[in-house]
Amino acid sequence: MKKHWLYFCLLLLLLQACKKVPYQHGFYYWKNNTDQNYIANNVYDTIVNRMNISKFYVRYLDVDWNEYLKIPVPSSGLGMGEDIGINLPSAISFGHTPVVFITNAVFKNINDRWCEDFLPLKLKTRIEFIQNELAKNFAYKIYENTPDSIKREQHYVNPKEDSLIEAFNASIKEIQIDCDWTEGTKDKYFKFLNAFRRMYPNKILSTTIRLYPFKYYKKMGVPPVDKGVLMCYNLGGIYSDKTQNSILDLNEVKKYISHDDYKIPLDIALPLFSWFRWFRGHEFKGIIYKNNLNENDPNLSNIGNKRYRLLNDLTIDNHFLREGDILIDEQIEQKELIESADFLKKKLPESKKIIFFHWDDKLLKENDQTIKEIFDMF
Amino acid sequence: MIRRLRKYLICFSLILLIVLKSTIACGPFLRLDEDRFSLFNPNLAGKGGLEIFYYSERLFNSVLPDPTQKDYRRNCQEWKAICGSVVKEEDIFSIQYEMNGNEFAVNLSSDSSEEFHNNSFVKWLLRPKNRDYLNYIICAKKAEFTQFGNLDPWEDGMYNKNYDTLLFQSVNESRDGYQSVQSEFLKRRYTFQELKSQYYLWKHGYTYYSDSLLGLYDRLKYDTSSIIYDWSQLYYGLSQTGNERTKLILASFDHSESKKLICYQSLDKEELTDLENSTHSAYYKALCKVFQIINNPNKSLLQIKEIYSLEHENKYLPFLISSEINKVENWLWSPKYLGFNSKADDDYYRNDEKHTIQYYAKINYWKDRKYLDSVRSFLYKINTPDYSFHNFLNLSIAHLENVDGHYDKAMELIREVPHFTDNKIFEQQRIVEEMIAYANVYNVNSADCQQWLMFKIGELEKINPRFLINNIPSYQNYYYPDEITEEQDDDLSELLLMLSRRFQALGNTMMAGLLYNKANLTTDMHSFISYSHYYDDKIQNDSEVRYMQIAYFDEHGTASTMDSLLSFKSKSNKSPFEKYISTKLAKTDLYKDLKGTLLIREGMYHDALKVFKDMNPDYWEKNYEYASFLPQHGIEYLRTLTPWDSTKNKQFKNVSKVLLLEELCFLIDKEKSEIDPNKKATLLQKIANYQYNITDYGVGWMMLQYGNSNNDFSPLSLNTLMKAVGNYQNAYLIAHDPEIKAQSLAMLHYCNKIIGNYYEKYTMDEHINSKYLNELRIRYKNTNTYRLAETHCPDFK
Repeated sequence: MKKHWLYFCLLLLLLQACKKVPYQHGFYYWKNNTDQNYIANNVYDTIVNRMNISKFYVRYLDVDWNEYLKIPVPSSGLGMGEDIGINLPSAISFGHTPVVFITNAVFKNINDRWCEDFLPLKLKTRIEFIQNELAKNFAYKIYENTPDSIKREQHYVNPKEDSLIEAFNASIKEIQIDCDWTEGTKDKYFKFLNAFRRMYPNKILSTTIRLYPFKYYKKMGVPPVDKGVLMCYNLGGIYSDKTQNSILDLNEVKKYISHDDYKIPLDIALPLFSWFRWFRGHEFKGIIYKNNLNENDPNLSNIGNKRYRLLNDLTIDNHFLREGDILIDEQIEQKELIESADFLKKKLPESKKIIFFHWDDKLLKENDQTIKEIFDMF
Repeated sequence: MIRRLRKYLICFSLILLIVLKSTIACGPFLRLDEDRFSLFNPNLAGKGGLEIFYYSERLFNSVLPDPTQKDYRRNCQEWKAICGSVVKEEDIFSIQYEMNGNEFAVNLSSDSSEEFHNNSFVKWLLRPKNRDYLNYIICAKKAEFTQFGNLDPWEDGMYNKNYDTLLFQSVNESRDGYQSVQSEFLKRRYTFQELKSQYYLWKHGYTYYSDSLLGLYDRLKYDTSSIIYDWSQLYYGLSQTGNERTKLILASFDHSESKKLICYQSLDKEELTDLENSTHSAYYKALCKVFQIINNPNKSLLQIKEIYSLEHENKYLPFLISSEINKVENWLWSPKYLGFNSKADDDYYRNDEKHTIQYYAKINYWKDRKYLDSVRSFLYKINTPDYSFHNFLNLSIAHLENVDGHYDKAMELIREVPHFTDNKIFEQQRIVEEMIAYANVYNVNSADCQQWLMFKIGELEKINPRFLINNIPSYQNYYYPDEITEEQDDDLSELLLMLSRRFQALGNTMMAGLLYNKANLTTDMHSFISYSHYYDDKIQNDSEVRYMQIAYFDEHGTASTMDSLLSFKSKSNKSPFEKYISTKLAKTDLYKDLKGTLLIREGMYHDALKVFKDMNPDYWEKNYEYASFLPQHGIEYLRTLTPWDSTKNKQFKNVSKVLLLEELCFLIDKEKSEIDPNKKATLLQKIANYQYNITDYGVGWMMLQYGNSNNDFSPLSLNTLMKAVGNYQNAYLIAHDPEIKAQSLAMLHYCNKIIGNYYEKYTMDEHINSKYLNELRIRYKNTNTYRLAETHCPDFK
């Protein structure tokens, strides 16, 4: 009987172990301080709570190759502009994952010393600096936002700044590196990741994985990290006017999700952004961001199929657009997004998080129901 | 292993070519400025801080604030005037600008660096009587550290607060230094150091420095000729508000070179408009206007005219005019010579056939011609012989005449322009205008003309040795640094491309192709752009036989072009011009291979075979990617495509176009002599099968072309498929055997579908009922052919 009881307990334990841990819902937060919309903190709180968002991946900085200095340098990111403090909305701040985008040009040009020593060290210093600034702001906000009535209570103890900062820093458990590496830069990139990983023995190191390196993992290698986020968008057809949707095309995605042999656990990222692709004839001329131009501009004529023709010569953000140029309006189709989410959930059953790229107040508002629906699926 | 790796790489490159052949039809992704054709050198307006603002598709043409280091040199000259002849200017430069504060301090306190202590400026500073000067340099180097740190961009914005202590220290030391020295030169410099340190402290929130900044600035006003004063205008100006701020920043912009970018970035449109509306000073009004158009990619002639009316001698006029000329040549010449936009088809405009890309290209073309005319008229109007910018304007007008195609007029103007023996940039431009006009006025096919052109090319190479660098990799690699001279360094290449187009217009494809290859520019034709950055570091084809060597001839040539090329290659007494363009000649067998391929396209199979037989028999085994893509078997049977006939093709012992083409020639010869209708029809079918097999959809496509696209059916393939259709039709007509007739109809139905798909009537996935299929169903339903076709091929269901 005892034996049976033991088996029963074991079975229960096994069942418990098999129980699927619920998905975490996340967002990439890819704003410079300069382009934050500064929507009220309580609005963030409401959205975050309603959508049960438990994870934010915050872009700390970009690293690009500087040909004049012949070293990688931090480019845009938090606190990079003149006179701009480092700050995040409270709802996003606590427990976020810092993300660093490193261009492939860095690994094309970097020497071994920089790759394995200087870059990991400088990056760590920079990350810690940003993190500390955020922690200080977090501590300050906690104090500021505590109502006076509570502060006046008899047993209220003013939290120490140091302990708040400590708690904040402890809440950051993961660091993520984002890089579009190639076969040619694989070795250096992986060397860097190994060196960087040694600097964070107690944190999870993750990377983003584009669909191409996912499919061709034998050739492209698997990054030496704890886990990855599969970025299911931006499939590379951006330069061709024939591309249906360069941001997300489920048929294209399907071509890449052709195996389940990837050696590290993967979470899923889906796109939530929009832009105009600018063409002259068939020549891709660039991306026009919608904060510089919108589809109701009188200089645009809607010629159908999400294409707009320029009616006049126009200067936008230092680009000279000519009469007759075509702008292809690209945004995510809600149906496509839901179907993609469904497909990816089935194809990557071991994933733990569903993340959107990226947090944009306007798009969030426009796609509110779709996002909610997708989060509910996971 | 290495061989295998290389094979993979080459194989990969070919696959990429195959991909590119299709993707280029959709337009390549070009780096900024890569699709810009420009032969007017903006350096004519005077190199300096304005280089940042040269017309470019980039936000700024360069990121170096003062590429020619004019400001730094001015400062060194001021120091040299103090030090005297014992000190070399370059030694001052090396200490002032090539050594950071920390290095200076370390070197000063140790004897280990011989180079440092042999520096004539250091020697001078170390003389006891020059102690004050040494103290100042120590102070300045320390102050430099507080503002730039160790120039580590990784620490930007991180340690401001730590540096504030040092800035306070710098303020005090500069103040003490000022008190302790007698020399006015040093007093001014100490004042400048204090002003700069106070400015940074003011910026960091220590606003109480705003009053003392004024005092310091006033002290510097006593020597307005010094670079120190010009720089101080910026620091002081930034701490001010309103029009005073705008004026000071504009003045600093005007007087210094290294501060131009920061000045430009420190003023916004509203501030400029405010000053422009309130000031009566023509100087400031003109500067406000300059600021507003300095980086404008749109047309700016109107504002230039206003600046001219305010100040005839405004020093920015040549720069602004250069930008307008660069714009005009970009808009008119880039499509003409590089061709990226002109080949677009009408896909965008299906709903609105009137408004095609050509329609808009034409509208914009005429708008731009009109604009060119306005710019030229203005330049003619202001170009009086006594005008300071007379020479510049002569070259500008000649260039615009050339852009407008008025070559005679340009020639006439350029003859009146003197040779600029003491100004290389002007002389280079003069020769460029001369060459453009000459090449378009005279017959470039003549030996005399070519001799003259060669002489001029030599002159250009002497003036600018960078022209001698072959294959400047700037545009070949997406991540190659954006060099500020990049656009000017390819001027000779652009001239060669222009000559290539000229030869082509005169019907000399051979010379056009050789010049095209020599020019080595990215054009709309077969550009090896790393379409996806995943492949960017993969294109490294070092094979002796490269497609690019024959790409131009593949596109424009005929068999007779290749004959000319082959005899040109073997010509022993080449002229200097011919030798010059012969540096990129390919292997003879590659030319022969193309000649044979061109003959196959023409259906001249026996002639092609003759050419292939004249080649090295193992050429296809050893070169390019023939061995990977040419079948090592016959191609007269279509195997799975024709379930009614699954006869295996014969195997060859090696990969060879000779063996492949012998098969076809044998069939053609046999068919000609065959009199039995059924046998003749079978032979015609085999010939047609062969022809089908060398189209994009067949296994032998490399007999017809050098790249293949899985998505698109090329016009060349279509042309050959039409020949196959003709043969299937003949087979159908002459055959008596219903099976042969049914087979012909089945293939005609399939070919018809491909043709319909080519003309975008329907897709290959659609089920189509052609007249051939109807006839097959009605008249040959009981044949074995139809039964098998219906069973195995969805097209026949």
